[in-house]
Amino acid sequence: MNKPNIVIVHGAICGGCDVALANSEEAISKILENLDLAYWSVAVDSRLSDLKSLGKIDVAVFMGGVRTSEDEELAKWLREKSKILVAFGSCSAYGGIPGLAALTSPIELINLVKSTITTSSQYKSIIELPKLPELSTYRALPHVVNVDIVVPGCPPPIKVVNEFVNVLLKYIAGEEPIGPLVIAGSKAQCETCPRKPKDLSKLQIPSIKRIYEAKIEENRCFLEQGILCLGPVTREGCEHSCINVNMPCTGCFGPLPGFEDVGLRYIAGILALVAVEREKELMEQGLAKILDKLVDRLGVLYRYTLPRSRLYMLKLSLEGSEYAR
Amino acid sequence: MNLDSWEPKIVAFLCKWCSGAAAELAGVSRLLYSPNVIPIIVPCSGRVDPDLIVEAFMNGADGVIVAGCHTPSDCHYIAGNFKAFKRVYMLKKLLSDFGIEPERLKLEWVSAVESQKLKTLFDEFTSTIRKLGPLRVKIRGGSV
Amino acid sequence: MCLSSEEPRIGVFVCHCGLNIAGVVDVKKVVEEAKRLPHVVHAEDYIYMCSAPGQELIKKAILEKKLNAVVVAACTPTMHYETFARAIEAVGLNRYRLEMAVIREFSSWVHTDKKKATEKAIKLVKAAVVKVADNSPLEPVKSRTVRKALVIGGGIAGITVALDLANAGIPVILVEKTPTIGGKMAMLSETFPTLDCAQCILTPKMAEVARHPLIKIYTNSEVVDVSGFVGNFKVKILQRARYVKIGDCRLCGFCERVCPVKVPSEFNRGLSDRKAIYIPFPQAIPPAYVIDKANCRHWVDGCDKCLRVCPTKAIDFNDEDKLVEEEVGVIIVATGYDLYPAERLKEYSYGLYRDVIDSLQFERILSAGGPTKGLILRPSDGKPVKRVVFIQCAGSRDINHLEYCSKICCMYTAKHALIFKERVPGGEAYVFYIDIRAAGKGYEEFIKRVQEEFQVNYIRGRVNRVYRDPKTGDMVVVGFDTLTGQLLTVKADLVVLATGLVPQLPYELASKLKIPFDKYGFVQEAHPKLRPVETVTSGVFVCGVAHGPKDIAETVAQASAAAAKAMELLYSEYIVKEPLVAVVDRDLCSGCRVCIGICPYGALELVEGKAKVNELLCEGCGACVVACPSRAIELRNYSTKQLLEMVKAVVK
Repeated sequence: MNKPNIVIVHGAICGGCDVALANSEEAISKILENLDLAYWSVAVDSRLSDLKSLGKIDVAVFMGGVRTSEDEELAKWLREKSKILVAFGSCSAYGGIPGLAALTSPIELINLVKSTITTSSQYKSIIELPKLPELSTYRALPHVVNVDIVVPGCPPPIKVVNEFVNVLLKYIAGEEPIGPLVIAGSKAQCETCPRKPKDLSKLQIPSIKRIYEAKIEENRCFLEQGILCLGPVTREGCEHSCINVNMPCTGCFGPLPGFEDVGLRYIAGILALVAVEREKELMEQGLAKILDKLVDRLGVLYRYTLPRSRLYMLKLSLEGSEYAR
Repeated sequence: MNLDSWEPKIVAFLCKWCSGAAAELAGVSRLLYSPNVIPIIVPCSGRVDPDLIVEAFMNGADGVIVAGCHTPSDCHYIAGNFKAFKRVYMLKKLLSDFGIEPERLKLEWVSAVESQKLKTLFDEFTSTIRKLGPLRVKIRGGSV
Repeated sequence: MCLSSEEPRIGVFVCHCGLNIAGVVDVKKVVEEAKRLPHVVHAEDYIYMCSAPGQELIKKAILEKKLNAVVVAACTPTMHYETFARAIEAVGLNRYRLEMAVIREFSSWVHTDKKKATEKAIKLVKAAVVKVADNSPLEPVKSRTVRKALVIGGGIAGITVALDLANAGIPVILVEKTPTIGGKMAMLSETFPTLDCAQCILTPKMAEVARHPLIKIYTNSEVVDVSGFVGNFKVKILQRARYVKIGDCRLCGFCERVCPVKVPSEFNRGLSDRKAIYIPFPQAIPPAYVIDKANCRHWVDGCDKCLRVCPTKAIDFNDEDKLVEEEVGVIIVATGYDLYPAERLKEYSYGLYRDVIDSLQFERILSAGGPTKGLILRPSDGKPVKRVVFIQCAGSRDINHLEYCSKICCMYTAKHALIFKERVPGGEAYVFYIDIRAAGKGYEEFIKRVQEEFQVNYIRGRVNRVYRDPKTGDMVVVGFDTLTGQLLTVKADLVVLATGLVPQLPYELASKLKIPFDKYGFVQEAHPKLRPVETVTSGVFVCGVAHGPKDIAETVAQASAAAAKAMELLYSEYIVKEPLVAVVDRDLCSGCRVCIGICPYGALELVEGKAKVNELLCEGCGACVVACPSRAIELRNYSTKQLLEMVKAVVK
């Protein structure tokens, strides 16, 4: 066949990106029409050995983060072999939710798993784990190799997947990729957010409330209600799917073009704005008390982006890691 | 790295109106203090971006000081010091989350006349960092 | 952002400052290292760079080596930035293309280790070099001013400001909410400690305001909108219909006699009635009656009795509210106070008994033009008052009501007691107090006189109950005398509550003016010691009780101060500002509104959905630059890029 081929491979995944791709009727049918789907372990009966035996790869779609040394090898191999490499989904693009485990060393992770396994066997003290691949330092794909296209989202919404395939076909047709191209807007969620007040009055964040503590009003900005929404630091393009169902943005579309560390931007801006009308009344003690309401710092500030953060790079360089950038 | 010859590298962000003026006064008064601290003058402690602090650590700083005007009312720009407080407060927690000692980042209020306080701050912080050691030699984690 | 379009050509000039620097720092080494820095095309040292020959060296190098940026490594900018800025401007280089590396105060004067001091000096020079390379050549921000002032509030504060400004040649617009200027001072009988007749010292000033050609008065009016910024405010004033033509009213009073409607008089604080067509007091300015539409029957059943008897046909039922627009250069807030609502003080039974009154009501009773013509009579039955009890700190210094001290109550209570004793021979006056605050000139002596010469009984202790004895009709005051340790019961004809002052500035107006206020509603001054009449909003000033409780002397002093500050601004043709302000890149802005709330000066607003900095209001603190989630804002010549480079320069 002379059709260009496409392979879809996995790093550390949950399966959601496969579902997202399969669900996008328009995109998947365009792929099948225009490309030869040479490898996709959830849909096509082919083995890793088949993948490795491919002569050339036109498009490689990588889902999931780089967790094991196998993932790392695969990513590097694909970059060498492929014309176009795509980071599909937030795990691949930014690290995703598994990225929250990046701060725990592989040894601690294994021990944690071991300590939570229960067995009905009489021999309770000895638990044999199956042979595990070697855990590497957890990284997002662009940290390991250069990528041409980034499709953000946890998982990427149908509209974005369709847009991605359109771009892909243009590249296949000969357009020069200027990567990495992110299939998302370059403005923040606030740009088009339906909850932005019509009078564009200044933003006031009186306190911090955890989601269960507030009766969240449907037409009002989350931040004004004390709910920490990551909209201001997150790219738009998802059509506010979470915001429209009364849940604050958690940042799966990743940071805006100007920065990579979401947490630092958030503490610099939104958290510095908390209770600004009452600073002199509350003083440091009162302000600290309010800020302490953010209990799960990493989960809120770095839910999908921890491995791409500057603080993570700092940590890696302190460890003398070869992956420090 | 030869730990015997290691000298702490400390960056101090001083605001022009208060702590920076105190540093000038310390100079005029010939107060001697640790040469390990290098000042960068900013208009206000509220100008200190957390990214700058992280950048300092990334490039070799072992400690960072942010010194602004006393709360509640000394800030020349009304309330920049409160913004600095909130940012440093959260950044210290994040540093700790990422495995870096939060004591390496210090926020202090120093008025324009408190040159002695500034000298003490610089000297004591240098010795704190000396005890903590350089930021670069910790090895943690590893593969299984 | 704002990069100079050409390649930087930087000259570094290292000063010895005699031995001050050179005695510790190896200046030759600093010059050597400077030459190796990127974009440095010239470096030299000299013994006194700020001297005339030193400045010549700089100018010569700029011309010969075509330098477009200069770093002077020497003392602090506080000392000599201006010196070197003028030197480089003399040869055509913009003053913002200059940075100083402070190697004296920050190195040679504070370290003894020469090697380390030199290393530090080199790092400071490096940081200055990377900063100056990206400094934009800026021009100061200029804006024309409208030479006109708006004064909000027509009490003694507003009147004083208006006269000071108008007498200095500045046109003034004076806006007053009630139908007459004069404020609370017009209600007073005498003022402490001199016992001047309040109306006698006030009404001449009111008349002066009325006839001053440069003062335009809007009474029965309120400021409903403010836009613009210092030098160029646009305000909208709602001038409510008076229904009486001011020029035609002759103050004959026929209308008042025939008007069938009676309502409680605001000026006499409910102690007497007025008609629906009324004049607040005879000396009101403007000198005209006014119809209180809410209570007038004309719009209910067509009553026009007043129109039929008016000799000049001054009444005009077709009058309408008007919205007037004015342009002014400065705004002075003088909105004054009202008394704390005494009905909230349940122990004192204000509102339950007519013989429990507040201090302004007592002023009206004392006043010759008041409801009792100056005779001290009980409101309930008109009987002469023989015994009066004054309760100080009524609701003040109390976490349940007003936490603060209102400063004037001790003095006005003493004054009330003195006048009572003067007018009622054999009368008895009791004052329940916690402390006596009499800090002004002659105030302590006044209190002593009231206590000793006039024999007013001062009881240190609080009152816990006020009620009427149904059998005798006396008011009964139960209080505790802490100095004797006894519970006291005092029978009185009249009880006067010295309630505290609460500010009257409406929240919406404060928001429109973008001025902060404290938790009590008093306007926040820019600095409590050094800038007591300015607010953080450039061009908006405050004076009088709107700023905080104070007496008339302080109010007048503060009002004149505000006028002086306003004149400072209005007499320059342009407002000139340092251009080191923030700038928004609208292409990057997402309209998230974080910056607007962070800015302490209200210098940012959304224009067509994107943030915009008002250069005249921005003070260059940079809080917004750090806060912007999109990194759409930068601070001129203190950009994030410059600071990142400086950090790398000093640490690496």
